[in-house]
Amino acid sequence: MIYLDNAATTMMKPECVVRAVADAMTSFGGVGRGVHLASIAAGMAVYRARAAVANLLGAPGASSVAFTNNATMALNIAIDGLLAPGQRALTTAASHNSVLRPLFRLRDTADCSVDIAPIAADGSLDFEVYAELLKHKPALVAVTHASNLTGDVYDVARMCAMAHEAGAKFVLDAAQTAGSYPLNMAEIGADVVCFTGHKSLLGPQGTGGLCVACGTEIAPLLEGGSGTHSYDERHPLFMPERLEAGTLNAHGVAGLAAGIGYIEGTLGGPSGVHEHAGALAQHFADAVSGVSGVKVYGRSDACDRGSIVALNIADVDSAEVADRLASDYDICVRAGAHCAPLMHKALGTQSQGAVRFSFAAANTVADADAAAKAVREIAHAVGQGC
Amino acid sequence: MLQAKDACYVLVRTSTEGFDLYQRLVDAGVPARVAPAPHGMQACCGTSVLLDPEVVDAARPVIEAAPYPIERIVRVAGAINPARDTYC
Repeated sequence: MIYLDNAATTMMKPECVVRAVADAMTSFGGVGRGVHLASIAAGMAVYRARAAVANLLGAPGASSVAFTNNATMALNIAIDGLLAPGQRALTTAASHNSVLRPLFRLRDTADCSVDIAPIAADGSLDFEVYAELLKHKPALVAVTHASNLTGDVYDVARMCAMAHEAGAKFVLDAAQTAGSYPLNMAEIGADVVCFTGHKSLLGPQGTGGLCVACGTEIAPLLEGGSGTHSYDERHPLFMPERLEAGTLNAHGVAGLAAGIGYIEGTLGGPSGVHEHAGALAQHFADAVSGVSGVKVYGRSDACDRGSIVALNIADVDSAEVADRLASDYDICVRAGAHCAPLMHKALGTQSQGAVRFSFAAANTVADADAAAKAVREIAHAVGQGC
Repeated sequence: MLQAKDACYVLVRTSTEGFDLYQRLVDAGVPARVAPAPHGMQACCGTSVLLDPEVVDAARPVIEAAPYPIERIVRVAGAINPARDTYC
């Protein structure tokens, strides 16, 4: 099998991740619940994972990192906790539904307004329109670092500076970049960075979180067991407990920490991953771009490029192409809408969807060559009416 | 006969800060361990960092350098004789 659906989740986790989760499952007591040896083992592991995330993403420190089940949960917490009823938010058409749906819910239920900065047909953001929309004085700007459809990486430091100048808080969706692209929260200036653990951070599914800048106070979305301050009527407001209610997935978090250790110790950090996987994506894109009937989306010169290539073959349904790749070539890719409805609208692929090839550290040039060969053969067959 | 020994508890706001302080102390070469905070002293956070009274002076610069407030350091007379149930 050739696995090229790493933007959905990385499949083959490093052995150290598997071992960390397995060890945790036979040695961890309740994290933050009790202070006996088994509980301390869990607590220290989670603390070290927070510190590892903070170090990797340039967050202020261990206490600034709250763990969640995934990036979607982190984004819901950030958006719900920062956008008050009646306030205005701004996002871009490149956003995933994990940003769009919470915003649209607040528009429909809390009298909030939502502006969408458009994405051009080449996948790039028009900064002039973005600047115009900032004149509406949004309280919150929530954007994606990289499109989960095209892999295009946006200049979020510039977007953040403009948002702050307009008086808005800046929330960054780093689901597609944390671990696979250089990302420093302090350098960007973001108020919140939301990440997932199971993609490029190589952790288990069910892990993710958000890094919160000093001075940014997010109202808790969930309240309940915190393990501390048990006599208070309301959930504690100290980070990270502020944004964590109930027992954490400490087993998964232990695996996430091991994944980060592997990225930094073996893969050369996010820069090393980007260099490798980005080069594979470019190699693949170059190999299929000239093929008759193949249309590659995004990869605008206005953006940096990640490790994703999205394409279609003539007018064939993307699901059919993906199924052919799986059944005839044993190649795993993702077809359809990718939870990015406005991006598909911008690219004109709403009805057809797109076939997404996403590369990771575990992939090789041979994988990219095999995928390109398969695309060429399918395109040839389509061209001949087969 | 062994007597119950005094202990110094560093009381923190959150368990995360408790683990962070523990790591800072260990990194600085100060022996410490994470322990349950005595309930009568502090009903809010159940975690504390336990020090031998003899190392408190060495620990103090590390504690003061931590980037979060420490609630307080309290010395408590041990109530449980470590030689309990030992008859020879």
